[in-house]
Amino acid sequence: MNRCLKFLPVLLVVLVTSCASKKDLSSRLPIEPANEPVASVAIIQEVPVVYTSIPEVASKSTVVILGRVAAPREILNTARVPGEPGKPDPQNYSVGQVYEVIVDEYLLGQGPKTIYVIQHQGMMDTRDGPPTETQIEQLIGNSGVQPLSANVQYLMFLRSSNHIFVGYSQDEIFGGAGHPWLFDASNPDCIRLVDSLENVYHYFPPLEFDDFATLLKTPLLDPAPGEGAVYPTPPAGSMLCPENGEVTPPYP
Amino acid sequence: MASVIPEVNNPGCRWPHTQSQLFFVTYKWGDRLQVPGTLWRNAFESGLSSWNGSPILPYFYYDQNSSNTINTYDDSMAMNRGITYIYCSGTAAIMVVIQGNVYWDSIDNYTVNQRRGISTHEIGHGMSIGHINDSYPTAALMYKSVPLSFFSYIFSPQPPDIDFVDQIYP
Repeated sequence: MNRCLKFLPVLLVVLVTSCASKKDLSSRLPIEPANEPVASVAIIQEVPVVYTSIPEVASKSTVVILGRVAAPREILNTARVPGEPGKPDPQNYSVGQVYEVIVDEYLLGQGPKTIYVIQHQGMMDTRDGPPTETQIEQLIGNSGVQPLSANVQYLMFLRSSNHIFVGYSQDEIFGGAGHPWLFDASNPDCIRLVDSLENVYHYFPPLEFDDFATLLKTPLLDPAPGEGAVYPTPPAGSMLCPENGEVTPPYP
Repeated sequence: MASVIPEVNNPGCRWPHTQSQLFFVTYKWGDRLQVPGTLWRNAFESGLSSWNGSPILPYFYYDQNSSNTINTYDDSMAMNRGITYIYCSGTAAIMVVIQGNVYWDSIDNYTVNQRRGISTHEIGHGMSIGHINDSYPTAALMYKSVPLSFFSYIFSPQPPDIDFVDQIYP
């Protein structure tokens, strides 16, 4: 990127007396950044939106559906300029793959028979200009997100948005409620999580559909003081699918 | 320092530095954080202060001409609360773009500590570091994937975070 190539030195010689207690500061010579004019690569680090129980993710969802993908549609930039819900953000390109989804059943909430679901598939810095198709393809390939399949019945936790996406009305377009939002419901004896974030698998073991449905209707309770807030407990073993092994929390 | 803390999502590049010497990572405010006193500006300022107050070698230093930017974005479909782009040239970090997603703030009504925790976590990535695995036995701000409630309690660098930066920038 041009911005990177004309990058200015970022390490300055500044005397900061407040840091005198740190390690050996006797020598504060400037440290020049590596002067290697090669193509730069952007690495992305995120704080994901993570939920730890079905009642919690349900409480953040506008609708919960059983449905199937009819067809993939276009790719949108879903990033918006803050305060301008209809204006795509020129500084970020957030890949939103739109799918047309036929709803088999609304498990929570209600809506039309056909909806549009946006699957987030990566994000990039576009301050130097819009991305090329190749860049978008690379971004999707590197995202670790599994595209939705037409042959699968999914259970989806979906949120509507106050953002405006041209060509879609707000009551028919949804996005995932967070991690997790997508489950493979092809086998009603075993509803399985589909998520790129491996740690959430600790909280959402495979469940029989009836158990899943019961949890969907379970009100979200505030954890007792000192319990559950920082290190939530995984569901009880009795809720697991028969073939599922032991589940442990991701936190110590 | 105790045992080595494994790094998750190693960016593969670091800010050039000399062992045991303090070094500076400059930053400037993006166009959406120009006004002091706003919620996200305050949160990022807290994050900068808490890292700068820690006994580590990287030090964040304001420079209006810096290429490193701290800003916000608004994305209802990206399931992230913040994001940092780290640009590498070979093994050297050359630029970072640190951002908070205001959308989820509007949905979850972050507390001051939660917003601060998210901001401080992202500022941590500004040192071109990855995450601490969530299974590390002592709570760390740089854990990879935690629920929002975690940031109610952990919103500044913890001992593992300090050790983590220390082992990367000895």
